[in-house]
Amino acid sequence: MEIGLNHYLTLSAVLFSLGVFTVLSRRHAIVILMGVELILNAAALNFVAFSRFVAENLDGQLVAVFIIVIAAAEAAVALAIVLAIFRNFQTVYVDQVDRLQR
Amino acid sequence: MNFTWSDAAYFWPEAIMALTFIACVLTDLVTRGRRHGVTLSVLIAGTVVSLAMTVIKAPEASHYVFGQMVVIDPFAHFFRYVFLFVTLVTAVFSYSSREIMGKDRENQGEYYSFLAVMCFGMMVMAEANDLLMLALSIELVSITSYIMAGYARFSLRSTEASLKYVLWGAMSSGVMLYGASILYGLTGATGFSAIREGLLAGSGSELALLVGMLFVLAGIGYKISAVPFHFWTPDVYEGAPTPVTALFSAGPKAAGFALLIRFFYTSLVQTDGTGGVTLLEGIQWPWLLAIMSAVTMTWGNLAALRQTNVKRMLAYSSIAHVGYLLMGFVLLTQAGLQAILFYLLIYAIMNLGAFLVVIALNNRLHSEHMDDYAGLGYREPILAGAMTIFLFSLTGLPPTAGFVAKFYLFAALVDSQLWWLALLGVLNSVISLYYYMSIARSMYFTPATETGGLGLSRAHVALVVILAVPTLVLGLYWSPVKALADSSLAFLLGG
Amino acid sequence: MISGLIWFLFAGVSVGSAVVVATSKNVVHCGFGLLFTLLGVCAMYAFLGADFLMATQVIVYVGGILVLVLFAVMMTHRIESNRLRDELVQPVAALGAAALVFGLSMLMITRTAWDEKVPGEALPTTSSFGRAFLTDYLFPFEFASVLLLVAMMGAALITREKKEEEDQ
Repeated sequence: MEIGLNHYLTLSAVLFSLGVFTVLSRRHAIVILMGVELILNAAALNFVAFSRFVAENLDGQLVAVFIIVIAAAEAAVALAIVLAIFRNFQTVYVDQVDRLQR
Repeated sequence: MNFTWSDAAYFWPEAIMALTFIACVLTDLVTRGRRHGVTLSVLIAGTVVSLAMTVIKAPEASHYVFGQMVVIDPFAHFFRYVFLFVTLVTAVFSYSSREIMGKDRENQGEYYSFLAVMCFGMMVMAEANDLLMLALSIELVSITSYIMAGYARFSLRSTEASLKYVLWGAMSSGVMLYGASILYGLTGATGFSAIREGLLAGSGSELALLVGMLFVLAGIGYKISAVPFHFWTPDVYEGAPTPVTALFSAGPKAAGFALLIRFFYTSLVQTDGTGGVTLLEGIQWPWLLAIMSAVTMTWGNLAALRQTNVKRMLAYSSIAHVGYLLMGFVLLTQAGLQAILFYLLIYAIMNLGAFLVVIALNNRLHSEHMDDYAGLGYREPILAGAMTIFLFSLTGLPPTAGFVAKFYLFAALVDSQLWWLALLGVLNSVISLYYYMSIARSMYFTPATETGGLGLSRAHVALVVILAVPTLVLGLYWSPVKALADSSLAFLLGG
Repeated sequence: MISGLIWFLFAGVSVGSAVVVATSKNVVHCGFGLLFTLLGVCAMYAFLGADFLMATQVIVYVGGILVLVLFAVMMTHRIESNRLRDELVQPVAALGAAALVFGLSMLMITRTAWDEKVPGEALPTTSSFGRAFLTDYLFPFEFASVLLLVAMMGAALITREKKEEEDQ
């Protein structure tokens, strides 16, 4: 069986949807972040697959490297904020953080 | 790649802001974080030099720096003025804010480095000419925003604002990257103009283009807080320290619009060389943006009606203003875009002014509740007078700058005969009159519980007046500024 | 044939462990699920001939980000309390949204005539990466370094405890 572009795109769509599901259904801040990582991986995988099958240049792979950089920076700041929340609220559940008026 | 040093010279303002960032970090290290006044002067010096370079090296055509990643043209040049102005004003009034620079606060010096890097990021956002730079510049501005929203790190409200901002922000940038990957797959390119060429060559991909664009728009829409990507705005604006809120409402929003306009008008639009624009074949969804604009302004205004916290009210009203701005975007005419640019500049001035008054009052009253503003018209006449000017201008009443800005926007709508949207815009302005004036009513017609001035610093009042003056003057004599906004579009639409 | 089977094996590992991330009630299990998803994606990069990216994925993602995430999990829980658990809230609405996104993506993928070519032999990419970072991608490269510096400063600033009055 030949593995083609659509196989990769499908896999990436599955990861993307699972990431969206995780972000929307969870209340633990760190698990929500894991969902974001799934979304970012789906995007990077798409870029690399298109880079090989459609564009036939390195641009997609280079963007994927920068996506990893973005993910690292985002994770560092987001986890720092989660730690600050834990220090201030003694919780990591998003729905228990509600001091601002609705 | 055609790299020449003469083109690179146009990049000086950005380079100087990046160096200012480093200089602020080093200054803060050398002074061991105890003398944030020194760091402030470094930031101001850097911003002024950058402003000077902006004036000296005004681009008269499109200059590509670093391959095709970044383009410097009159459009980006116009936004440099907006960002440098916003940074300068925010820096000065952050210095006088209790919430960030109060005696018990820490890391005051580092705050200015984040301001510098935010300015750098916003300038690059207005210049990005590639999907990669789009993602990276949005990310730099976002990450700086997350940090600044949580700057008062022992304040429950501030950290909560920061958490809500970062979780949804991370998700929206992920979705945006996924959309960008689809555009890359369709065209095999990441540069905006190469994407247009790819779309012109390809065919039968309308659905993919729609999905990709929707996802990318979700990312940018989050940045400019357009409905339905707005839900973070009220909480973040209320929870963040007030100077930071003021910055968010003026700076990143303008940068988001700059990016939206450049991305859309470079990659999806064909120009006929004389300023006329048509969408590429297979794109039939400007009506989607029209609905987005209508919902955004209506929702923002209706929600603002119920607010008693002035900061939160201004947050909702800023959503409404995004709706007005999107009206100009939907038109696909030069007049519409010119109106947007002019409106963004005026909006930055009047909104910063209103927030500056909120900061000044917060320093003394420790509150942003409307009831606490009672009787201020007699206790602090200058401040209350300036606030009234800002509120008039935000509503769009003559003879203020806000009126002129809104007038151009509606004139562009009427030109394109988009009657229903124009009508809705006018109706919304009437709604906004009610809640803006309720602040004025509280200041002038509700008796105060205490008497006497608040003892505000003279410098603070002077700064408020400095912002109130252009709000009035530009309402009577605006042609040079309008001409600057108009001329800045030439190369975006001409080429 | 064999390579196709291996591909499906790795794809299955990625998807299966992503499902664990999405549904497991134990936060540590979620973390390990993420580990195997990331490794699965890493294998995909190998199939796609992206050798440099594969190494980056292992070093930065698995070695850096994932460890950071697990650290954060450990630092924000107390043994006596039940913080390692996370129930799914509003699973139906989230499932609806995810299904919508998935349906839209699949419709798009199958309906679109991608300009697919038969890829040539995969060559080592590291030297091309090096050249790109110093020429066409010089600006993004420098820009990313500013981004990382800001993130580092911000993370240190936000997590820092209150300053003691020592070195006066």
